[in-house]
Amino acid sequence: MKETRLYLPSEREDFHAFTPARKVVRDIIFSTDRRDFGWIKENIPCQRACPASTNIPGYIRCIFEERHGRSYELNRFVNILPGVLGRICARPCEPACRHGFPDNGDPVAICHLKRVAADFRPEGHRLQEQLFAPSGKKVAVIGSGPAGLGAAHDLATFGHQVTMYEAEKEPGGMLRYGIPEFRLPRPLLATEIANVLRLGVDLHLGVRVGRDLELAEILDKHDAVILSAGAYRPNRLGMPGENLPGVYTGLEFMMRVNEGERPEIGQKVLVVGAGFTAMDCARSSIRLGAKRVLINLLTTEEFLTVDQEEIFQVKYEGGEFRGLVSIQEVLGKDKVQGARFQRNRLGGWTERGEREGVPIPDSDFFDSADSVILAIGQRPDPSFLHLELDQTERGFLRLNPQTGMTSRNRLFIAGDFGAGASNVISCIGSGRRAAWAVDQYLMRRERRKNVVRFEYMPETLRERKWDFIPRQPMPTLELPNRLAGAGQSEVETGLDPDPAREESKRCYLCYLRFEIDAARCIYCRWCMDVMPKNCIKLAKEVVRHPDGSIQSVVETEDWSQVAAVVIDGKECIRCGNCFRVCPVKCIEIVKVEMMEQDVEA
Amino acid sequence: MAEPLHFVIVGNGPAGNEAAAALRGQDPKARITIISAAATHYLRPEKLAAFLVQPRHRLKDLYIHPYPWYEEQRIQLRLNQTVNRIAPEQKYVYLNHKERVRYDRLLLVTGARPRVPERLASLSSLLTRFATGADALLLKRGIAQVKHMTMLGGDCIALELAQALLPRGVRLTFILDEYRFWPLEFDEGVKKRLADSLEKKGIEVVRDDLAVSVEQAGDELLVKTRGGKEVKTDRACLSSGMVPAVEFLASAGIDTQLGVLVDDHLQTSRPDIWAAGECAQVYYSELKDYRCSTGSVNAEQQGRLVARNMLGAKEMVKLPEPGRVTIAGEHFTTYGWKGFSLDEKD
Repeated sequence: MKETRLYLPSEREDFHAFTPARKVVRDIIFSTDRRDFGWIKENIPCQRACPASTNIPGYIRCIFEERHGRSYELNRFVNILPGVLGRICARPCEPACRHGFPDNGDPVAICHLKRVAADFRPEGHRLQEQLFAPSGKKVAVIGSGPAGLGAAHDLATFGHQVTMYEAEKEPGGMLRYGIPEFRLPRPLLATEIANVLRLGVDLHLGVRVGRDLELAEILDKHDAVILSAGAYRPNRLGMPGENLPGVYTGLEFMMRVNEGERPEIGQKVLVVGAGFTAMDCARSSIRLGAKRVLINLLTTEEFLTVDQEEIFQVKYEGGEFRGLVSIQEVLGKDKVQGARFQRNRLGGWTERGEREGVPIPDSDFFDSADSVILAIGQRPDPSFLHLELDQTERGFLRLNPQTGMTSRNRLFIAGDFGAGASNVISCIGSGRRAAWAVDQYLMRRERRKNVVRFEYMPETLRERKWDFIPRQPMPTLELPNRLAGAGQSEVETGLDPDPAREESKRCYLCYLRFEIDAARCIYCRWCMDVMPKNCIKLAKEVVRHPDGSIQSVVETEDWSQVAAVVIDGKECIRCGNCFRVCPVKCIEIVKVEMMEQDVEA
Repeated sequence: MAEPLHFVIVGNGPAGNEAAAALRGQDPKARITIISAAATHYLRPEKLAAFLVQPRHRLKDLYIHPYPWYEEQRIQLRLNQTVNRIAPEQKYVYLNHKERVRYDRLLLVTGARPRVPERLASLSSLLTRFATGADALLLKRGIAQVKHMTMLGGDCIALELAQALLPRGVRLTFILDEYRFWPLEFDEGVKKRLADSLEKKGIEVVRDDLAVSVEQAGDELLVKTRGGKEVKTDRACLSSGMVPAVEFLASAGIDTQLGVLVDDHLQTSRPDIWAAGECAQVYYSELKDYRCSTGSVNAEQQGRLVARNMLGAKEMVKLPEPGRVTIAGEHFTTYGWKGFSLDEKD
């Protein structure tokens, strides 16, 4: 018989006789087998999509159990700023969510639930930090944005003495200067930044490296340096009229708004760009009193990087989208009077997976405007380093893939400064990875690693009827309240406890591994009678990934060839029907979680 | 002998029916299927307003083709069935009830539906629509109780409705927003004259304002505008133009923007899939812009043209011929609607 079973951490015959007290000591197993990491990648799509590998089913289950503090901590361990991310995360997890697969409905509101954990964590709840003894090593972090905060947090817990340099007046980087206040309230940001700083991070504000202090000097004084200075050089189109008064770059505009200024924009604003910055510029312009705000896209709304909800909010506030145009020049004498555009048709796809817009010859048109905001992205600016460093073909700094170090010894990179503008969660993940690399370099060994934790579950944790709960909408402020005052009131008001708990039930809990013990299965096929999806299969054999984890199942209808009845983890929606109906209780449920563990010396 | 081709037409409006008839005329052997989400037949939308106020009119009287016509023409008519997905590689359309239908050539003629401004989206259930036969039936059922009606937007459909309702003594309020008189494009002076002439007819006109909320207040609705005006009314009718109904196509990799993006031959970005009528968006070099056609006359023309192209011709779609519209004694030239008039006798 061909081996069709998944790798199991242990064989256990006395499972049904366990008692809760014994469960704690006996039924938790840790593994570093690559097949187990492979299983997580294959079966927990949200966690795989998260650049910080957040244990999403784990924290959503805690919300269901109304353990909001624990849920917050599960987040904070890996993504440092849960309250911030619960509002402004780019949510790569949600398009990956199994609940959003064809015929399964809408993805779980993973991001909104993260905010639930932050909103409802008990007052005075305890932060759990795994602190190493002071190492006596000094590390500098340049930039206090998400990458810098992620790096500083982990460096501090590793016991290193961290000094952080920030050029602006307040810490937070893009979180404070790029993201508008109506998305991210500043007191919350300050609280979560303080949680990092209180670990002993020495923050120097208003110090611009390259102007007030040279990088070479910092390198001399510290054992290692992490550069996380972000991407602050706006992309330019190089078109005529780009420097006229009334033309702003998206980043410059947002920074001025976030510093409390009210830039002159007039009645009609043309925004050029398709990302969150473009949306923020448009929504901020509306709050500054613009009567008409048009977002100009190279392609169409379908190919925007922002989600449908964001598009809806922009339109709700009165913003308009004009698709299939490219800006050719800005026109005006002393200031902007308008812009010339060309119509586009949809072209092919770029290497980066973006749809192209191709201008149609002889399709120019003019549109009047009082100001033009070019929100077409930004790049890192390494000129302030005053150091010769190796670069890649695309103009980014080259890193050693083993150590994460630049071509300069002891100099590491994190976040957007490395590979260009991305998103907050990627930067936090990148910052933490840089900190681990620094620690390994300084201590000459790995001190923390990821392990897979297994825990046998006596029950399914879910009910089949929960699969039909619709996605709970995020309540938002009504239009007049949004625009009132300086327009800084937070637009999304957060899920209430009851809808939040309903939403938490929607998670399939993909970290539960349902598996049929072939030794005990009597091939009655009752499970197949009650399965809601094509999730239980008569298997001839299994196809494995190179790491040994199961990739897919080769099905057969010929009983003489059936090697086993197998639950296909990719189809399984963890409804528990099979477990409840099995007459011989041969279906076992194991909770599989990835976590960080210390490595013994 | 080769199997006859299966032409599947999604949508049961003027473009789809004209295309079906033209396909049958030119290919007697073809299999033709019309799939429509609506339960009602193909009818002329411009007749709906009259139907609404004539108590003895029945919806059946408006049908262009009676049922037996479809049988005679061997066109399979599937009403009340919604297409929710298209798989162009396998050439299947998937219906809501999990059936899949294989096609050789697919025509998308899903038309358009009333635009719901985002600020009113959450109030959608309180709003009246007037675009399809089903909408007209629903409205007709309660029309006797309607003493006052508010038009949110003031497009040409609202003008048609007003034309039918005014003689019946229904009081009307028009809240004119940026979509006023859609799809007709006028300069500001003409728009003002038109608004004046509406007032002369006894219609209350709220200018340069837009409805931001609609609330249930007892038996009535309370419409509030951004300018702070409040209107008590029996019905609040969406009239901010129409938008093509194309959302379900995105997952099929068929390019859409406002409508389905088609080339000069009305072919979409996928092989063997065409689109026509109000859901098809064409680039016209004369206008230096994209345009979705409006009105059933244009849709019928495009339907006949696309049928020929689906059978192998390479005919170019042309900008609709200018038509004439009369509103309040003034004549206007328009690419969109034709033969439409707001005046009682014209």
